[in-house]
Amino acid sequence: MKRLLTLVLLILTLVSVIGAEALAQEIETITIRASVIGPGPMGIKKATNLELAAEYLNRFLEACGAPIRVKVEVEFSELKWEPFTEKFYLEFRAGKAPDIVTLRETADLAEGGYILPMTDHVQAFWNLHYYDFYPNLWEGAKWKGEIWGIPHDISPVGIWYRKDVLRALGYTDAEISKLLPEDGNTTLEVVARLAKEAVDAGLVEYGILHRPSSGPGLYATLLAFGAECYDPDKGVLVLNKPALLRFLQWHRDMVVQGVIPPAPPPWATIHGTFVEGKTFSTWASHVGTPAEWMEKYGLSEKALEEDLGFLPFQPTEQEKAKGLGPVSVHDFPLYFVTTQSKYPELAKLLIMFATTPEACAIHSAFTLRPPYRASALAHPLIKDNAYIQRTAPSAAAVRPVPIHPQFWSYQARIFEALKGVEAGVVTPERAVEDLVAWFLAEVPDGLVIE
Amino acid sequence: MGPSVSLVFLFYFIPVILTFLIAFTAMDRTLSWRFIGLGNFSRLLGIGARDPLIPRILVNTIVYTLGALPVTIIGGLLISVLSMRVRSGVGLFFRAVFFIPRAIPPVVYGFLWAWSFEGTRYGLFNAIRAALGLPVVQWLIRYPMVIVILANGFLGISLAMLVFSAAIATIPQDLTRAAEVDGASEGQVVRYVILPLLKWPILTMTVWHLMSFLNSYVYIMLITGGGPYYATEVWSLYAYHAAFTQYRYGYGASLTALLVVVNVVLLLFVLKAFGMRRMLARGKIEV
Repeated sequence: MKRLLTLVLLILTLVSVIGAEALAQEIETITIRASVIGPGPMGIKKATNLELAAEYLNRFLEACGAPIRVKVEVEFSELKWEPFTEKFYLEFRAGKAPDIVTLRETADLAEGGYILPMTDHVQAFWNLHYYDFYPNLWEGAKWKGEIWGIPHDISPVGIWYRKDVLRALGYTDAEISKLLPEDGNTTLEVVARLAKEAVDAGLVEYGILHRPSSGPGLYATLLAFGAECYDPDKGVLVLNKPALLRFLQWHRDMVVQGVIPPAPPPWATIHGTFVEGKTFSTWASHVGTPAEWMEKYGLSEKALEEDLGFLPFQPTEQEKAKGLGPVSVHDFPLYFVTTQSKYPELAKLLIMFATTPEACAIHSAFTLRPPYRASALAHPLIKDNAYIQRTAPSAAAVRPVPIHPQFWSYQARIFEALKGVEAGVVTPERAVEDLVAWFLAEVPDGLVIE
Repeated sequence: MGPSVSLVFLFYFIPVILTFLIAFTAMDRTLSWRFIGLGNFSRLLGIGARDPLIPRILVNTIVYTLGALPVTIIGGLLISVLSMRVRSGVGLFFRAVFFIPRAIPPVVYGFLWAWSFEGTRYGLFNAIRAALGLPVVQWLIRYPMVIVILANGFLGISLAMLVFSAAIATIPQDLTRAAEVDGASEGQVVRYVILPLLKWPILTMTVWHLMSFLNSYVYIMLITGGGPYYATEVWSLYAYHAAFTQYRYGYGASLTALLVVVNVVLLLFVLKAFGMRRMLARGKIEV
C-alpha cells in the first residue's frame, strides 16, 4: 500500500514538474547534463547508469502520458578528485554547472549553496526506492541534518594479503584462516608479524605497503590505533595526541624492522608488486581493487580466489583490549543536484532511476565492489558472483569518512607527518608537536586530547 | 612601444595587481572574493594565529637560493672558460653536453633526477650500487636539499655557460695574446684578463638566477615534492601548495605577493651593489 502511495506521489511530482500547462503541449525534450568522475576508468558505470536511467525515465514519462522526454548528456572524467572538483567550481562560477555532479565535498558544497538538499526527495521515495540502501551510507550523505546526495558507489578499504606467501612460510590454510579470519577478529600486530616473517625469509620485497597519499585507508589505519579524528556529536575535528604518537611510532618501528619501506612507492609499484607476489600486504586498496588488478596487472580469477585474502583494518592489541573491532571506512561520493539545475526534480528522478537494483548490480559486476543496496545482491548479474556475494557484508559494516570542511587538509598534514617519521627525518614526538601547532592555528574550534 | 607596453601591462602588471588583491581575501576554490584585510599577512608574519611552517620555509628558501646560485655562476664560469680555452671542437662538444638540461622538457629533466636518485634498486645510482653489491641508499631522504640544489644548479649552468661563452668570444684576442706574450700563465690570463671583462655578464646572470631560484619550484616539486617532511619546501613551492593543493588561493596569493616585494627589493639591492648606472653608461664588456 505504501509503495502504491509512493507511486502516486511520483506521478504527482512529475505533474508538478511538467506543469498543467505543459500537458496540453507537444512533447518537449529536456536535456539534463551530468558530470561524473571515476576517478580512473573503473567508475564508468556511474556515468552509463545515468544514460540507462534516462531510458527508464522516458518509458515512465511516456506511460504517464507526460509531454516531455529526458535526454542525458554525461561527461565522464577519469581525472583525480582535485582537478575534477576545481573544474566543477569553475563551471559553477561561469554559470555552466551541470544538473548532476558526483563529488565528495558535501559540507563545502552544501555550505556554499552549490547543491540542493535531497531529504524531501529521499523521504518521498523511501518506500518505493531507497528503503534498502545500507543505513550507514546515509550517514555519509548527511550534513547538518539534511541529506544532500544519493550514494551510488562503495569501496570499503582494508588489508589485502598474499596467502601463497604464508603457505611458502609453512602455514596451512587452516592456520591462515585462524590467524587472519575473514570476518576480522585479529590484530594489526599479527599482520605485521607475518609481514616481517615474509620479509625476513626473503619471500617478498615489501612486507606492507600503504597508500602513497592521504585517503580513506590512512583514516582507517588511524582508527585502528584509536586516533579518532572527528567528534560527530560536537561536529569538530579531534587530535588525539597519545593515539597519534602510537600510530607514528608503530610505523617508524615497522620501517626499522624492514616491514614498511622508508618512502611509500608510487601506486603502480604498490599494485604491481602485490599482484606479482613481491609485496606481502597492501593497505592501499579496497574490496573492489581486484577488478583493477585484473584489468591492468593481469591478476587471474584463480589467483584472486586462492592466493589473496582480504580483511577490514584490524585494531591494535591495545585498542582491541578496549573493545575496538575491525574497521573499514569509505568516503562516499554522491550524486548531487546542483542549484544551477533548471529541472532539479527531473534530475532527482533521474538519479533515482540510476540507482535501481539493476543499475547497482551493473556497477558492482563491473567493479567487483559490493552493492550499495541489499536487493541488488539478488540481481541475476551478480547473484552467482561468488566474490561479490562473499564480500558484500563489508558494505554494511563500513564507516563513512567524516564530513567536515577541513577533514582532508587535516588528513594531509597527518600523512606528511607519517612520511617524515617513516623517512626518519622527524621523530614521532616532534611530528605530533608540529601537528598540534598546525591544528591549533588552523582548526581553532578543534579538540586536542592530551 | 604602445603594443609592447600593453602586453607587459596585460600579462605582468594585471596578474601582479590581481595577486595582491586576492592576497587580502580568504578565496578558496569556490573563487569567492571574501576580503579579510591583513588576515593572511598576519598569519604568515606570525601575528596572532601563526603558520608554524613559515620559519622552516624561510630557512629552506635561503639555503636553496644561496646553494644553487654559486653552483650556477661558478659552474657556468668554469665550463665556459675551460671550453673556450681548449680546441674549438672539443669546447663545442662540452658546451653542447652542458646545454642538454635546457633543451629537454622540464618534466623529463625533473623525472630524470627523481629516477636517478630513487631510493629503490630501480633508481639509476642504486642500480649501480646494487651491481657493485652495495646496499641501496635513500638519496632523496638523506640528501634532498643537496639534490634539488644540484638539479637546479645544473640547469642554471647551461644558461650561464652560454652567456659567459658568448661574452668570452667577444674579448679581442689581442688582450689575451698580449698577456701570454708578457709571460702570463693560463690561470693568470683567466684571472687578470678574462674574469674582469666578464663583470657585467656575471652581474646579469647573478641577478637573473637569484630571481629565478627565489621563484622556482617546478623541479623541486617534481623531484622531492617539497619533502621529506618539508625539508625542501621553499617559499614559492609553499605558495603553490597553498594555492593549488590546499586550494587556499588567498593565502597562496599573500605568500606570492610577499615574494614579489622581496624580489623587487633584492633586485634593487643587487643592481646597486654591482653599479647599475655604470653598467648602463658604458659597454657591457670593457675593452
